[in-house]
Amino acid sequence: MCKKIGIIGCGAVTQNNYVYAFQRLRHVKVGYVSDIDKKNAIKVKNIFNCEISNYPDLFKNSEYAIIATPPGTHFDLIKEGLNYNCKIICEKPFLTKYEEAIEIIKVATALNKKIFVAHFRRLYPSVELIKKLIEMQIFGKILAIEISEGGVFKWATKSGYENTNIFGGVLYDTGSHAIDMALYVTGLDRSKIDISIINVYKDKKEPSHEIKANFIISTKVGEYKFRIDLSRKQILSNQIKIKLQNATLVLKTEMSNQISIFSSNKNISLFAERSYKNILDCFTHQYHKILVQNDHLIFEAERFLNLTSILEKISKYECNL
Amino acid sequence: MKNILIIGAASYVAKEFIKANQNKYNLFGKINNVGALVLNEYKIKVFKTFNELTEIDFDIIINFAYPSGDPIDLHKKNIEIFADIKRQSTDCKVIHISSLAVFGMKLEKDIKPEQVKNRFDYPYVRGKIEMENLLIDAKIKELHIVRLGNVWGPGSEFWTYTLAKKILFNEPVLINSLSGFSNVTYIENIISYIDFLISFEYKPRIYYHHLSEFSYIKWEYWVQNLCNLFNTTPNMIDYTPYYASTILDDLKLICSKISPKYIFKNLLNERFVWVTKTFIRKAIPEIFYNKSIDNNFFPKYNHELIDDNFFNVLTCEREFKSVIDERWANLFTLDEVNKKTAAWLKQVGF
Repeated sequence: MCKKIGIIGCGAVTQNNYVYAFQRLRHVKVGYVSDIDKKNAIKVKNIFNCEISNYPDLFKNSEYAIIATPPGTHFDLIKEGLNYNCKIICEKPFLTKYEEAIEIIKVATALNKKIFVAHFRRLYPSVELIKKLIEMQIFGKILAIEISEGGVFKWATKSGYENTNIFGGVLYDTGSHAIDMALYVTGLDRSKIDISIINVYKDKKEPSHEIKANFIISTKVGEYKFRIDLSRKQILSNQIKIKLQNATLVLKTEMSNQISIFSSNKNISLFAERSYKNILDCFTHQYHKILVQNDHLIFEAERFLNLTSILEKISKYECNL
Repeated sequence: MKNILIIGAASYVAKEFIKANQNKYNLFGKINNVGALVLNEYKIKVFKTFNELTEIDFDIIINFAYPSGDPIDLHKKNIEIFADIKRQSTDCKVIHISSLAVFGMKLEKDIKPEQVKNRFDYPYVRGKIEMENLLIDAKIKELHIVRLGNVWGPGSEFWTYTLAKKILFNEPVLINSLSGFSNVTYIENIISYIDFLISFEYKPRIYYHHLSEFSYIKWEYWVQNLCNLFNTTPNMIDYTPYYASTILDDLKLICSKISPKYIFKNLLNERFVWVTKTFIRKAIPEIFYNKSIDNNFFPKYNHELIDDNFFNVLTCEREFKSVIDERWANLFTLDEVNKKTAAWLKQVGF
């Protein structure tokens, strides 16, 4: 039987990624779409041959409601969606305030309902491989993490929110992906953590297009230094370095099935068995796992609380501009 | 101060030019929809349309723009860029930034500082040649066509960044016993040369410049330098990159493996002569791709496709020698280039 899906937000992500994914997934049918921009809604409606709906009806009639709107709108939409029977999948980044994320998860738990967050980079073959290596603990304890992701911004959003919305900057856009990759592979998405910001540089007030940040994450087993460098203006190395006691593991921030391991005298590369034909196939696989295989543990909202907290702290940090 | 209009102002070389000359000239930039973000910290007036520019008399127009995206729109996009230049260039000097690629990816055509006839080739090459010819035919009073070598140095995504990344991830970067001429030009030398062309008085006519001050250096040198920096060794392979010399080579390749639908699609969209394996690879379903790997149709390097054009350039046996105004001198020596490049790589997280 087909699962009926509703999509709120018919902008660039939906038109590029969701259209590709849901045209390929079996046993899943997009039944309803919604957008404040009617042109976008009609465009997507015509592709899926479905209905344009208001939010309440979309939540009421869908088995899964996907929220693919700008991040500042996620809280209100998820809150409303929890009044209905549908399961909710929120496009990344989850929420912009840690307190709101806690509140939403509490409400969902009380109602015995599930919220998932779409972070498809968790399925990159390189991410899965490096996570397994770290879990094996053969390279010793984690000491520090360096994240560097940047390139000239070429993604033309339909709403232009990257220049107007305070959550439209590089931090919530690229940063949420890259920081999540680091938290996920190191298991820091599941630990209880404290975050101490050391310093933050931004090119301008949010939405900023360049950010450098240094902070420390403390758990009950140790402290981890984080260094983040994000840019929409220039190319950066686009890699994540996990520094361990006996080696440094490096993965690309773009999709890859390859990682590098640097020790004091050797540099070797390892390859994951899995590989995707293109990035949209990886995106589609995420929805195959959540919707078709019910294999959604790694996408449950609780796993994104630490990320929400880090993003909020960096975003609100008052730095000299 | 001279009024300079920069078309394609958000592109890499243009941005470096703006950064270096923002206080020296009155800069105006024509960009596409998302380019403004890249330039917002520099002293340049940015426009998406020309309506606001009609009352400004420009002394110089520099074109960095070239058609990218779907090859089927290549001609249309070139005409749009050309119209932008033509509209403003009534009586001013035009500097058009082109590429050594007009002589073919392997530089297999005669390398001469003169007009190159339009021909079927890779979309990028075709686009570059067509734009040169549009400008030549437009009878612009003073036109400088600057064909750049392979751009190296801080911010060079295509060569410096790509090579650094490949080396760090132990991907193949050199072919055994076949290291070609790098035909490199350093980014800050390019900016200096453009600035020289702006400030120097020339008689009205067409000038061709070939800028490739480190053309004689082999790729092996740059690769080894990066390897030393990362304390690693280069991954060298035995491989013959695919390069079709005639239309028949391509047709044989397509027809032997791909369905009529894809033959049609390739002929229509991509080119008339060239079809890369990469393009075909994208078009075939995974199941057939895996079978083709088993059949050794595609070389098997951990399921990553070898980039034929990358190796075609790295094994280029022809040197793209500089043909420049001899009154200009290199600002940056090889030592300085290496130091600056190493510093940049460190700064961006390598």
